[in-house]
Amino acid sequence: MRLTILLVLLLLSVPFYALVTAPLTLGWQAVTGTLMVVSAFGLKRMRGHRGALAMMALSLIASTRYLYWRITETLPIGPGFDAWDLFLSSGLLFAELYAFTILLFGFIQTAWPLGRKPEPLPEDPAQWPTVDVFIPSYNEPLSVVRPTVLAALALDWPRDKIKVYVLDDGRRDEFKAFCEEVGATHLIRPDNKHAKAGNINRALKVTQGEYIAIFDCDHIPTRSFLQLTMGTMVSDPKVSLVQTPHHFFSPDPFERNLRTFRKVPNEGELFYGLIQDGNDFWDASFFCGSCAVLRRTALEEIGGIATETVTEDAHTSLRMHSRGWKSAYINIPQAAGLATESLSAHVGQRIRWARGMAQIFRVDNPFLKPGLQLGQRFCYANAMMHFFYGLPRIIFLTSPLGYLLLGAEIIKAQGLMVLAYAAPHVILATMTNSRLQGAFRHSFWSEVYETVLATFILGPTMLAFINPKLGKFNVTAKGGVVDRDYFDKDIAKPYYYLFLLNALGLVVGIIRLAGGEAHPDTLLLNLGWTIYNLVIIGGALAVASEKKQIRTAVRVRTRIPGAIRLGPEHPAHLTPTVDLSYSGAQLLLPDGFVTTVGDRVEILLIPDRSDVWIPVTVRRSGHGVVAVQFETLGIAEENALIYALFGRADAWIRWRETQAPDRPLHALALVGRYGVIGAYEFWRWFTGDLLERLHARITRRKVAG
Amino acid sequence: MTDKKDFDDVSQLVDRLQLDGLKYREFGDHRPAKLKLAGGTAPTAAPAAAPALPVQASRPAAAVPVAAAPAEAARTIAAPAPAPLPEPARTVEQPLSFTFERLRRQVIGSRVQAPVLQLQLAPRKASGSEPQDSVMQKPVSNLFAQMGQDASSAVVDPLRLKR
Repeated sequence: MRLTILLVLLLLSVPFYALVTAPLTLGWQAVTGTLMVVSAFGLKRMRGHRGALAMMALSLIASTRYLYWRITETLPIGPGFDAWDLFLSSGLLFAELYAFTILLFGFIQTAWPLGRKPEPLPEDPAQWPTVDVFIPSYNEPLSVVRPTVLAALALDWPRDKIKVYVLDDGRRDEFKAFCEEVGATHLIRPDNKHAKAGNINRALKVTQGEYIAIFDCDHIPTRSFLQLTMGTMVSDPKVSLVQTPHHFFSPDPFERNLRTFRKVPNEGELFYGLIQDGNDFWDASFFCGSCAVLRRTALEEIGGIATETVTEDAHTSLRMHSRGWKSAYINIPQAAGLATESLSAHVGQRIRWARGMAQIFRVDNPFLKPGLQLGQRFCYANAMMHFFYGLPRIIFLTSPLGYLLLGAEIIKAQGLMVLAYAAPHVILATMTNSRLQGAFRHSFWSEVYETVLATFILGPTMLAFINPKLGKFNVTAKGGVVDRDYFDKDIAKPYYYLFLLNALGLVVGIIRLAGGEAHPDTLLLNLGWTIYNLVIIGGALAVASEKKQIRTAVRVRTRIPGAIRLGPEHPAHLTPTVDLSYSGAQLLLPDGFVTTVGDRVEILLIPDRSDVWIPVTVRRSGHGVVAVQFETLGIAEENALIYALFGRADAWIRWRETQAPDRPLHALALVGRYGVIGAYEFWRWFTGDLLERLHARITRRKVAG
Repeated sequence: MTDKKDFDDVSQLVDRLQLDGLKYREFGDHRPAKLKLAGGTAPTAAPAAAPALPVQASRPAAAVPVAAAPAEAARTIAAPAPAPLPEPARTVEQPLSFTFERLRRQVIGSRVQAPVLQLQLAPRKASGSEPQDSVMQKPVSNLFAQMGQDASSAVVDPLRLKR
């Protein structure tokens, strides 16, 4: 069989080589490129995953052909070129090779998303294993941790086979009192060595459950979490880890500041929606630190959670895989948490991830580590190399400036020739990615996400790559509030420098064009590239315009059965909710139910499953809805609310359905719109800030004079 | 308005994600409310979460009765097939996926040493570095013949911007 595969690959490599290396004139290259794009449109209509595989192959041919041409024919070497040309050209080529590698690895990684279904558990619950639920916390307020603990205590699992532990590295008395009140175990340790990893490892030593379910303290599980994940563990003793998606019920800074919440897939959806499913095919789905179950014996075999890097989760699963353990990914959201509130917190979290992945790449490189399968090596390597996008992204954002502002020859070819080779490569990669990832990442949004983070992760990844021991674990801030609209000028500083540079390049380019350029095609190509860069950087500037968070508690739009009454002696009116949060609810106003603002009434959530009436105060009534605010809740009321809001088995499964499918041109138009908005907001801040400083200086001079 | 109907989050999940064969068991302490409804309706209790009663969440005709564990509420999410069969660890939907899986296990698992190809390729001539006229007029039939052409004849692109 191996010989057959080898022979097939060798046979395929001959036409592939010919397609990639055939030198063509401008006209014939344009025809070839057009044929490739037309073929891709044909393949796009093909149903099933085979069409996607064919598109991947076509895209790889176009991209490899482009890169082959770039390397063999367009480097500025020889008479008429200087070292500066070669330096800038090499930088761009490096960025393009990086992007190609990520594209190739990404295709391998997502070649066949597994779509694993939960396995059934043994008939007799007496045979079900014991589970310890770990909820590590360091400095998060109790208000953030409470729902997670209460939801963990409500997990549907035999009561004598589950224990909930709060691993409190803050050693707080209020946490201890709360745990005692609700029936959880409060675990502390004398130090905070190795942060979250050390916290979990310490708990492993004093607990006995056969399996460990881990939730970040703000990831609230649904009641069905264990019954959907544990069957896979029980049915295959070699499975060391079952991971589920991290779902966020609050908007992240991109979604809030661009107002795309539940309309455009967020940054994390590509990973949890597609990539982890693709990893699962290669037996390489990895631990993400939360919303997962781990086998104690597997953890103990590798010495517990890895402590050498700041992304202890991926590192831990890498080690388990290298020991021959398997992993599984169940792509059903069974827990939900808070996204980072501000862009600065988001950037801080991503810096940690990037640094951690770079550390693993150095200390346990997946290409060199013994025991891994080839597919696992590709999947881990792609996950790690992805975080090295900082430098390539900056190169892409500045390359046309080398030509426009410095007159450097970065690509030794006429503009139309570049277009004839690059266009099929870019269009096919975009179309293929749209086909593969469209449900989880709309076209062109990766550019915005990467641009926002590129300058910030560049340093940490490089440093971690050089010296993996540098840096420490930083906890991601959750549960905060953005209390006003403001332009985060500190975080936006790199973007507005890049924006101003590209704007300058655009102006200079237009002047050169108007002045009679010898090679208008080359100039126009660079101008087009610069405009695209301005749009993407404008999008990043729009994200830096922080929008006020109106409510402290995140409101989740959900229609569930409910009831409302004036008091225990009054009749109940059945009515569904419109939305629900941890501080209040909005219900449809039932016929015949009369109330006014300030009235104290009671509501019941999901009467089929709960008889706990929750005392509330009416905040608004009219236009067919009644909005209420919860009064101080006892544990029973809080449990009823948590079940209705977070604990339902189906709480999060419909969220992806509200998003429109990807349409690349539509996505480009949307990104362009945000680019314009961002540019406008930056300009408004920039001119306002300048005028303010000017005014202050004049005032100071007047006072001094 | 009334929105009173049996509420079953697990059935919703199972039906929507087509998790046929998944058998769910209740361990929580859920008590349906007894409501005195407005408009003179008699007190009503929601039956969906009644403890210790098996609930058919889909297609009762195909349901497989399951004995409830002692002191626990049991719920059977019945599959349309006569009896729910344990699913394989990997879901094999199509022959190609099966082939993929087999190939992966056989080839990747054994960590084959990849052959090293040492191709003696002749250097190539840069198409973008030719004079514009000759580039535009080159007949297609000559293209492959040029693959072995010596690169020493390559010239600097005359269309390059003069600085």
